[in-house]
Amino acid sequence: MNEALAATWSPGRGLSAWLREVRHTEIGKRFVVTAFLFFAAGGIEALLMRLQLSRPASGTVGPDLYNRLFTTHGSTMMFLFAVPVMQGVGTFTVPLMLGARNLAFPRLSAYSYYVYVVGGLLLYAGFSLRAGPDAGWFAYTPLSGPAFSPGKRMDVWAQMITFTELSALATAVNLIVTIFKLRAPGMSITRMPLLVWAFLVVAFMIVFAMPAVVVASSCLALDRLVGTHFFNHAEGGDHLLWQHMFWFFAHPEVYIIFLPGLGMISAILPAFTRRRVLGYDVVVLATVTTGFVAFGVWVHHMFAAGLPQLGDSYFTASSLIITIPTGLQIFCWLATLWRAPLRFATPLLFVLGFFVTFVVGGLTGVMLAAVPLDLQVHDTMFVVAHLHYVLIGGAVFPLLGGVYYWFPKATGRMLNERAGKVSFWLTLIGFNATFFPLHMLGLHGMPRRVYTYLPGSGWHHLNLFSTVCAGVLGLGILITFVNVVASRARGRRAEANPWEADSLEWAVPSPPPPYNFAEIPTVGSRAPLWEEPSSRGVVTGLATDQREVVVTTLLDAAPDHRTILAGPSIWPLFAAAVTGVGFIVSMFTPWGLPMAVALGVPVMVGWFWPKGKPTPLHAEQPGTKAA
Amino acid sequence: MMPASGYALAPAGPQAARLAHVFWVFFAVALVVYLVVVALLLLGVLRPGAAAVDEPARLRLVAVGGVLTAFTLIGLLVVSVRGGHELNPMRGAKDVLTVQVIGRQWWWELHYPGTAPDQEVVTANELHVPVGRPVLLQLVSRDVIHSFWVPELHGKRDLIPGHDSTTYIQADRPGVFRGQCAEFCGTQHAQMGFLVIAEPEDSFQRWLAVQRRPAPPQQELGAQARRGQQLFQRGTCVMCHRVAGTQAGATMGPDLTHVASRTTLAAGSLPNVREHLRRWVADAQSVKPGSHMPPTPLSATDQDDLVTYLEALR
Amino acid sequence: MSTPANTPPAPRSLDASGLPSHAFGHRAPLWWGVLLMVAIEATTMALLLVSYLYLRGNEDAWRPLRLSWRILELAVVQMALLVASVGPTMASVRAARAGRLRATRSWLLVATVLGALMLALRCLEIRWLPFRWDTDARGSVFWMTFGLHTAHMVTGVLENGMILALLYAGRVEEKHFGDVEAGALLWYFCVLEWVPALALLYFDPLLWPT
Repeated sequence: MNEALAATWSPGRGLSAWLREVRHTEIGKRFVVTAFLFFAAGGIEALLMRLQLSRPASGTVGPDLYNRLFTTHGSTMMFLFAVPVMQGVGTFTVPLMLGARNLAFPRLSAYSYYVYVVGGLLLYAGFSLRAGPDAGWFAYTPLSGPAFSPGKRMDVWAQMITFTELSALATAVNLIVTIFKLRAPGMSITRMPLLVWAFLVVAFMIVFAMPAVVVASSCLALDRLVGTHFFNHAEGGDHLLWQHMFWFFAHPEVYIIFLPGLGMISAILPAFTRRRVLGYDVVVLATVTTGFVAFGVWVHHMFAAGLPQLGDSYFTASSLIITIPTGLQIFCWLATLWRAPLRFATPLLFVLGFFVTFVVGGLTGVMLAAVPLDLQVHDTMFVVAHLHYVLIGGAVFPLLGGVYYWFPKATGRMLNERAGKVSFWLTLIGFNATFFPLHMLGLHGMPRRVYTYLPGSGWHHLNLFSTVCAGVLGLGILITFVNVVASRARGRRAEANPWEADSLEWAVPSPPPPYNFAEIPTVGSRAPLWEEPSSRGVVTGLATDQREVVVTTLLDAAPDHRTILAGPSIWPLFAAAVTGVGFIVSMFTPWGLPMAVALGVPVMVGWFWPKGKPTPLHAEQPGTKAA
Repeated sequence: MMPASGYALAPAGPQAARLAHVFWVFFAVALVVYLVVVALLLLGVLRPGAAAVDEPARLRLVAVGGVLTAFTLIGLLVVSVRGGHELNPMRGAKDVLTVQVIGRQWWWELHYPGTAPDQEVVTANELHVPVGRPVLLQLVSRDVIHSFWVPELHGKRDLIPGHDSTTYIQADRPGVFRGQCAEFCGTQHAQMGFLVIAEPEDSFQRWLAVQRRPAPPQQELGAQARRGQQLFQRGTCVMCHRVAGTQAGATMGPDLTHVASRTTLAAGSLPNVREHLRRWVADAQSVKPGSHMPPTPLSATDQDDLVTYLEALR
Repeated sequence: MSTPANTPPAPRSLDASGLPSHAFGHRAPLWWGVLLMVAIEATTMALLLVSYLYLRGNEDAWRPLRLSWRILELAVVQMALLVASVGPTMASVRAARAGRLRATRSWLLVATVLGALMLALRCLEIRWLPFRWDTDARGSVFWMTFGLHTAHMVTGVLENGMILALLYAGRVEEKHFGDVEAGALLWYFCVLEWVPALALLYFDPLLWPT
């Protein structure tokens, strides 16, 4: 039977098969690999920036290049690394954790990846041609508008946004529908792994937050291209409108990056503490609450803009309140860790690194929530320190732990444990040494986004120290990169469940066969693999000559009906190409969009027109009921 | 003296003092919380035990942690709101000096209104204030968003085109305080600094009186300075700069009527001494690449003359 | 091990071959996919309407330009056409759920024709509008909102057209009846979202003094 399944679910060989790939495991890996390549690029940009800042008036990098570097660094890290890597982890792990064979919309996941690549290529093509954006990743108007940013630099930024947000929105829809409808029978919504809950909340956040940046960047592109006045105060527009719209997106965005990291901690802890995460309900409620409250704090990025004090105070309150659910999650994890029979492998080390690092960022976040305090340190290196502490501590550390944790599942090989430990310590020490001094620099008056500073400022020594330590941080990350490349070929072979973990992805071989589960499991608890094997069941009766899966009900995951998932297809690539061409041409002429529509119609027909063996109407299949 | 930075925790005025106080409260709380969390982590992680656990008991402790967190945050909220209360405008502010601050790429234009239009003082990049008096700053931007920030006096306030705003500062002791633009505003955002010079009231009034005077008339200039003035009037300088009392009246660049009285050049980037002034005038782009001041190609003697003239504009 | 008491016990072994091969409504993954897409577009529209209100709050710069009566009438007629298309859409969905092919495609055809008529009137309206997107901020917001809704309508009409082509000419499978329902979701959204937009963009200026 496994041969039949393999034949049905395998994509074939060769370039054509690679381009037509729709398996979530492959697309997930592509997302993660591509995202880490952008991470490396962003890291190099950061090292160049730090080199420039290591001495006053260093002359390594001039103002224009520096401004392009920090804009590209921020845009790369936020749009081309942080969100896509979480898209990748979700794409890879969620179906496996749910006992599913693929995402609900396989071709949409392929489209999601291709359109992301288009966005990344656009940004870096721009950067290499000196047409890359230079007005900051946040692109405040009027600096980013037609009057003060001539040329195509900020149009590259605006369209890069379009591509990456389309990608994320597509992944979000896919994840939600998969989580709602393709769970293994018996995996009621309160039995889902906590990482799946995190991705569910994050996916909903993407659905409601990303439209804001798409609208904002489109309005900016229109102001620049066809003379609209959204942000032209002389004709009734408003620069604060940009800020509100952008931050309404961008604050949830950082939680979109951060919550999957928290979910990964919940996923990693059981294997290394031999306990289920304590307080499942608390963690779920905390995740959901964070998702909601994240939409109510955005004005804390605008405290210096002079909005009414009462409004500012409300946002101080909400920004303080959002600490509570995250704090509760941390307390639940501490309770899980407390005097547990720990196994100090690299994944757990990175989780512990999260605690000592993220909490610093969380506390400086509490400081920044206070308007009086924020008015001094806003737009200084203090904020640079804060944001890196929360994003690297809160998302990248768990992510690196996740890399060491799931690499065996994805590739069938273990990463080198000694290298992992060295990488961890260098990353932990290097990160903290690089970024902690920035708090002091901010308090001593050093703003952000400055390409140089005066010799008499007194900022020299801390900047130099930070730069040297950035090298240590870079080395730590590099060791993990090398570890991945070397272990891919030569790592110790991994069995299905090398960590003796509790969730369903560890029930399949490493790497998973193209059909994931030979028989879709049925589930009776929150930790299926820690149950008695005799209490586990399977689903029988699904076709092996079609990509058939069972669809379950939303809350209880009771089996509802069968459906066929889409197979390999070239149309997602074409659709991404049409999207790419359309929006890139629209940087130069408004006819780009009608052109995209015109090209898009045949692509949509190709995508959706039925092909292959039909299931005829009112099929005469044994026991089938008409709908 | 040209301070090149300001320390937010060394307040020289009531606003900054209140902000620093809020900082210290939050910092103390943050430090305690961090130490507690790390201690809990170490205690829990360095003494392994059995896997089985009394979940309800642990969850009660989690709840306690949550409640403590909530109460701490409420306390911090109160500290924050009270700390920010009525910073702008100051309660009971009397005898307020009003100054208009116009942010421009990449310098600060300052206007001190007088009782009549010809009493107005226009200067750049150096804000003089009397000690002990509240100063109302009217913040306007001519181009992109800038942010006015003097760490030792107050938090920052953005200058947003289309949204004129105001803020108050007050220096309670004499001194020279560094300011910096704190909102990315383009190529030379990094070199858009300024100084706030706080001096006793009488000294301030003297400064104001001097600033009101036009430039010295031609007959009071030395020969070299007179040659320099010719170069100024006939060259590209007059296309951007104003010198009161002469025909140079353009307002695209800083007002130079009293440029020699200022401590710094190029928006706080250079000390105002002859060699820097010469370098700035000859090739501003070598100091602030991308700024709006073009190089002024002149022979060495011409440069000397021009600089001598500028030094006479005290 | 705390599993909530009301969670059903796990089936030990489950024979799926007895399950139906298709389902409608919220039981179907596609339905959720379209609903989420609608949520994304609804958020986009809501943001544009909120932007209109935000910019309108800048009273001194705002210019509430009243639209002429013929444009208002045209807009109301378009709305009427949209509302009229809801009934046939619902009928086509009902027929699709019952598996009645001819009824499904007839009603869908009626709905699509009404939608196409509305788009034709919209083309006329485009020529009558007295301001452009670059006239002022109000013009920009108006055209952006108008453009977004038009894009939604065009997508809806094209999608219905594709489904109709399939229902008339292709090999019709059970799941295509589900596509009818998915298309209907998008259609209802196109109608609903235009109600607040019509009120704000077209009729709100009437409340302002000239």
